[in-house]
Amino acid sequence: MSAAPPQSMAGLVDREARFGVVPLLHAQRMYSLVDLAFVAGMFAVATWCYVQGARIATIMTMPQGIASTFGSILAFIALVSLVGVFTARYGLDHWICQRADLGYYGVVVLLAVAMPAAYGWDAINAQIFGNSLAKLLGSAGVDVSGGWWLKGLALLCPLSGLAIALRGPGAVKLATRVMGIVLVAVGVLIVVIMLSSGDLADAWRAEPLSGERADWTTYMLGNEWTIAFVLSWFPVIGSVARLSRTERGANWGLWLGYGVLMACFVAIGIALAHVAGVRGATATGDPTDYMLDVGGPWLGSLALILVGIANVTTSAVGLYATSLSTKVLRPSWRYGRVATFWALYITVMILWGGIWEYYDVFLAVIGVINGPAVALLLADYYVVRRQKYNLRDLFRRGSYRYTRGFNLVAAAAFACGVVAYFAVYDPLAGTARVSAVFDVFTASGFSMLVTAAAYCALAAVPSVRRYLLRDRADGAAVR
Amino acid sequence: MTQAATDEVAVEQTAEAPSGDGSSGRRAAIDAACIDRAEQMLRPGYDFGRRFSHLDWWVLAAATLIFLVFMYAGFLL
Repeated sequence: MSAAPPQSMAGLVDREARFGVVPLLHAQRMYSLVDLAFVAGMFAVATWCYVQGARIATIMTMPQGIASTFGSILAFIALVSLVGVFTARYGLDHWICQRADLGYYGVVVLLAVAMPAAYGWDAINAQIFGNSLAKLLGSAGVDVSGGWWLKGLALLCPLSGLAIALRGPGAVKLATRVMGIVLVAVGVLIVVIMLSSGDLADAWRAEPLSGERADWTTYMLGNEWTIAFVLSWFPVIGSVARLSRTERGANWGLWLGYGVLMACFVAIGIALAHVAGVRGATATGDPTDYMLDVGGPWLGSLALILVGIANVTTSAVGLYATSLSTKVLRPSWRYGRVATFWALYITVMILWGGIWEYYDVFLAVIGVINGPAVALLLADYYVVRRQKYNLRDLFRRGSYRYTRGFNLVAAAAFACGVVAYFAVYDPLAGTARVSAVFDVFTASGFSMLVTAAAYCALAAVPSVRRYLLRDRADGAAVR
Repeated sequence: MTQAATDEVAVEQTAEAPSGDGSSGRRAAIDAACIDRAEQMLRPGYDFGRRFSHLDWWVLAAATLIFLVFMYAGFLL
């Protein structure tokens, strides 16, 4: 891409195309399939994969957990990767495309709800960072295991991440490379530690860490957690996939990066927790405990140091990517201020400290917001609109204003999805309300199915169809 | 609207913005650029790049089905 002087309007447009909401034309895209797989993988693969793995290990045996993880991640990632197809087609963040199905202001409401929920992962990341540092200092004889000490150490993670993110894309690119190498190093180190421990065979045959073998409903609860985990990346899909040179590259790049790579690291997390369990570790759900239990003081400490570095870089990349998506709310917002706002938000979540305690509820919030949102986006584009948008109206208050900026049909379908979710699952108790449905579809799966079915059924009514497809009234150009 | 016209509109609106406040000019430039690029994509012959083919759809559907089976069958392990 030829860069115009940054102080000129052309320079501004050039910058906003790369770091904002202006569509990227085909000639300006830079990612091949492999590039996107690497970028998406490095963003998705972080220590939260080990947290998820440790959680799954509490209710599933190792073979169950690994089959369930690969199965549910790679089945449901198809829905997320299909979003990548049209973000790459138009060079647009999917939050812009979502103006077509939610309405110009409807998308603002969804983004304002989905983005803060997604930042829960960064708070979890920061907490693992704090735990890693506390254990390292503890091994050096400095006791900082108290609550406020841990929170103070955790705060260093988003603040360091912000310092990198504010230095701009060059620093973030470097952070991505460091993060990629370090995260792969952590994964390889953990696999080596497990293989050399001699306990892997016993761990393979061991019962879940809770001590009880899962019944079918409990097994499907684990699948529900994993599906919500997959859907967590929905808010940032568009900001990376729009840089893909081809639709095919966008779909399969996301599938490999967010799907295969992420599944591998969650599976490592499951195996780590089981090996630690065989060696007598307490089922704390904290992967840093398991690393010390399995790796001993030296290799365990090395793993903790690598985790610390990886989490700072993950925080930097996360702040950068999500700050860009947030600019959909108001394109003229300054990137630095948006990134600082989100870093402060993570700080508040760390000081609160409840995200770890309410991990199941946090996953439920992700599932209940992102599930219907993904379903609506796909049903709208692929079924109702037959893969055509009025591209002009995506950027002006035209046909996608609907009713005062809200698509009432989409709002009704979204509400149906949310009701369906809570009808079959109680996230506070972590139990199924209607086992017959939950055991087949899971709560997020059922919610998505109901949302898409309701939207398509409503769209079949002629008057509703005219309401939804006013973007092509009077022969308006769509593509 | 051409790039030059986009810049012209944006610069004019920046000039009209209250002193010390460049945000409305920035916003106008960004909005104009978005519309300009949408127009370019609507032109016949615009190259969207290699499309997601029928083969891709079939492979994705088959992979999804296989992994759904994995998801359910894992319970038996």
